[in-house]
Amino acid sequence: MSDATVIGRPVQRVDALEKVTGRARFISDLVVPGMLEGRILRSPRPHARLVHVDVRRAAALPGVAAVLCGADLTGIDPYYGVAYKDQPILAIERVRYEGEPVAAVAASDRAVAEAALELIEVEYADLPAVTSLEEALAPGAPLVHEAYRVAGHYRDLRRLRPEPGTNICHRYRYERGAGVRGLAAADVVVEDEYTFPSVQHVSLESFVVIARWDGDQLTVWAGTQHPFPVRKELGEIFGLGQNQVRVVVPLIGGAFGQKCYTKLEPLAAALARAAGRPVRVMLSLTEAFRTLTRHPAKIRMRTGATHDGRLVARAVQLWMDTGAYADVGPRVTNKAGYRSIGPYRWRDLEVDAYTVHTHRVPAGAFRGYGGPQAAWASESQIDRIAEALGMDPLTLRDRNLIAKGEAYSPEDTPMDGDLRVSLRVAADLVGWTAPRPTGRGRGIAVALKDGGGTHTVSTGVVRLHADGTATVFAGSVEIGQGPRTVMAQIASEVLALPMQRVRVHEPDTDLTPYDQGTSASRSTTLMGYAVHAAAGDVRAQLLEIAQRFFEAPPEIITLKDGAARAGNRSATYPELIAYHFGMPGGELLGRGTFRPGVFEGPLGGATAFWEGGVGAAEVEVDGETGELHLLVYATVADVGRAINHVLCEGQDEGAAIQGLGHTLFEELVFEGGQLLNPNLIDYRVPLMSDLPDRFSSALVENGDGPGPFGSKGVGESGIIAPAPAVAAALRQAAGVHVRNLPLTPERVWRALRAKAMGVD
Amino acid sequence: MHRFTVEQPTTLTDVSALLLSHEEARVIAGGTALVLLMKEGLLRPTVLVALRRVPGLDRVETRNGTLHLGAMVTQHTVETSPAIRRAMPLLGEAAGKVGNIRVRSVSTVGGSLSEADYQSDLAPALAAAAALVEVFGPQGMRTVPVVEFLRGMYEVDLQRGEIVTGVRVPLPPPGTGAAYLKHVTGPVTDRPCVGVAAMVTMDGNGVCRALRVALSSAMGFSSRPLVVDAAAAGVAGHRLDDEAIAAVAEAAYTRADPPDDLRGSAWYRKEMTRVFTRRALAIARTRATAAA
Repeated sequence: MSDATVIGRPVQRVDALEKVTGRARFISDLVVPGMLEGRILRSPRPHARLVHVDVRRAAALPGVAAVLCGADLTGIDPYYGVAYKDQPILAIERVRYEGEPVAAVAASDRAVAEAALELIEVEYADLPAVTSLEEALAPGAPLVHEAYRVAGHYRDLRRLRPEPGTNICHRYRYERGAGVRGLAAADVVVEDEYTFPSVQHVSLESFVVIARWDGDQLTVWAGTQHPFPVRKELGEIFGLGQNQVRVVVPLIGGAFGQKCYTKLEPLAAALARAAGRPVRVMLSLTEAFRTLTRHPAKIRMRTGATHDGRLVARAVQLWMDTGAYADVGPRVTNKAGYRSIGPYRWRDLEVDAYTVHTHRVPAGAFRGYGGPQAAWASESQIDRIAEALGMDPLTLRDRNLIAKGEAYSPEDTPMDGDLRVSLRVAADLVGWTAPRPTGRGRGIAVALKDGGGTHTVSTGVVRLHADGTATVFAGSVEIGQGPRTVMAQIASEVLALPMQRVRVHEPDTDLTPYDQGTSASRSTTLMGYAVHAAAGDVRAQLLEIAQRFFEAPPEIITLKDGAARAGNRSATYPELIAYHFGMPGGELLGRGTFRPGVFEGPLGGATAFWEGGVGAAEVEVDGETGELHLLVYATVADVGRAINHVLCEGQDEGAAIQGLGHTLFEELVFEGGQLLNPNLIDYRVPLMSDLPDRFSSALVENGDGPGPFGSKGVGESGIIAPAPAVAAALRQAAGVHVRNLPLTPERVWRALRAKAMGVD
Repeated sequence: MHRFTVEQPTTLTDVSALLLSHEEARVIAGGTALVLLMKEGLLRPTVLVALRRVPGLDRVETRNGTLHLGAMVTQHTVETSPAIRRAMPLLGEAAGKVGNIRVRSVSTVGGSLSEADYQSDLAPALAAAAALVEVFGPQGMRTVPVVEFLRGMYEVDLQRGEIVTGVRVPLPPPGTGAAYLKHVTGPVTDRPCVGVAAMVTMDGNGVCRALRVALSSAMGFSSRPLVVDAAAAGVAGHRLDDEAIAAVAEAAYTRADPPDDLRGSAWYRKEMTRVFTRRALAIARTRATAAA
């Protein structure tokens, strides 16, 4: 792209100034005239029958416009969900987790609404609860759900496999070659059980939804990553056509997967309908902790290799705790299962992955989507093999990584990048071959995930107006990752129009064309593809008009800086549009769609691109306290081509720092189903002050991504590598193999004591 | 959050009177603890009595061998004030480890003591320095040693109508060195799993003339720091060698009865009291030697 004017150039993000000056209006800043405040009464019990809910005193409080409980949700389909329609807008007949919404109030202000909540009387009859994977999987365990209704929203979530009579709501299976029997042919086999903690996204802005009814038209301003799926689900719940539901997404303050799919939109809409006024539901951060988490997981893994360092077989059993409602747990399980084989060449594989219900906060999408859980076991076992063979872990990886063009799985898209390049760059950044001071250890881990989502669709529209400015209509949600900037860059480059003249419209389902959602690092690649095609459509029209205008052959016409040139003549876009329409009006409209070409595969579709990277760490351990001092961390992402370097680096570095959280100290602690630390005093996330002494990142750009200009998605691989990389470094530094995260000082200290007593 | 009114009296007498006349009144200084509790609905004061307009509560002065810190002195001031750094570097070392810069800029000495959280940085430092807490109330002014002021879990020696107006810290004799170590098990800005302040005074021959170690999070959930002095550890008048330091660490370990919480198990914490007591004392000894 040496001749590019915008792509890969140091372009400032379009919302930088408004954000750093505090002028940016986030959804929390939005005021819809006449809106009421909605507040939610939540269950204090993990599993109980609702004997009696009496809202009369709350409804009588001055200032209260509506009070709802599950029994009031009549005349609509009160259930929603990504995989199963299993989650009621408000608990119906029973509650299934501590923190589940039981009743809701819409009132003139927040204080009145909260006072009203205290007047709602609820009688609970406790039922036996399963609050861990072990309890949920025990024979005869109480069931969280007795029956399932498949939602049918997505191709990959139509064929779900619940195991009746158990708490397993879905099972994913992947097999290759001789399966588990392949291990018998290996010279070396390692076997371990790993656990991954329950963690939370901690977006700086919590969930916010405003709903307004105008007759039978519903408008929802939502902090969601999925405006179109939310529109569809609202239509199904309230019996509305998709043209009767409008979902608008203003700026939102972080999401990380937490704001994927339907969450509070139906409740806000139900309250607004009951109150006859617009209602805002704005959750506290503590309530966000009670809305969605990442899946805690248990992974039992066996990996086999030959004496000369060839990986041959792997068997995986993986249990994902999806909490009380499935949400997108089955897909996260599919991905964790599929990703647990890692980016290596195998002969025999057998993976069984289970989505398990417990009476805990639902778990769902979170940056990396099962990848961090899978790689925690997968990459740790690569190090176990290297140790067993006495081989350098870098060499073992380099030798077994699938090459560019090679299959990850025979049924799927071949590998589109060369991870060995990333491996070498990360090794250099951490000083892999430099002499290692006593007491220090180094670790490296490869991250690879199928990117772009499972079988998704995106459409973009570009309008070139008569004055030579353009508007891009793209449904990608700006959650901080920068699509407003990137879509503008793509359109600007293709249209040969200065970026200042391109504006990207906020997602609004009445105006912006269909987009499946902002997840799976898909926007730049897939919506970027659609915008690139839409801008290309306009560009072709401009060239066609220019040919007529100049009466010149196409090969001598060029577009630059918002004007067409032919020889020494030139015409601005406004002049061309005025010429075309015969008046200084009209506009050129372009459209583009990404539609998957392959409809099958291990994940229910073909992987759009492979998102990969490598993390490397150097640590030192305090033998007396178990404190792990992170001296160096390097993160490398293969982005194909960076359309915007600063944004790519920000995504990868942010992901790595977020990954250091679950690596070092983040964990939601439950006791008997009660969440003990749903706040930022007791649940801490990494801050800049927690960065390692030396923190660096690098982008690998080989121009081999399937997205526009050779790009591909970034932002998730960085969160996958930290845990296995740091644990491997810990192993080298202190000789302990810790299989449970996070690597808190106490956990490391206990491992050191166990080692001193001869226990590994 | 619930509704409340804010009073901004200008004299201590008026502060006291407001506290006496409102059943549900609370004093607010920096608000770092109180506002969190109010947002969570755990405390619902109807009246907040702000101390901001009472003159003199932010004073820092040294007179008659004592460092006086007003209740409204912020942790950031304790951390950075040249006068405090010179007179009592231990306090600055501890205050500088409280939360983050935004917390330290508003959190105050009086507020921190009155909150009486067991996970404190400042309390062990003040206890190691044998500080006294100044309390004003309907009966006038009184002082109480910090370890007696901090009575238990979020519990302090304050009667209705009384407020903390400051602390008095006796300036140590020459040959004194001190150190504060904060052991965190989460991010660096986390509250301490164990906090240890140590202060030792040595003569020119390396003999221990005075020694006091104070630990937070070592007495169950009580805010009262665990204090071990030279006499209790049997090292008074002894050379403060590694063996003597180990004896003090062992004494702290033996007496510690730490809580079990999200920042560490009781077992781990107890073991850490020994490690960090030893480390803090070793640093204090080096500093005392340099100061002798």
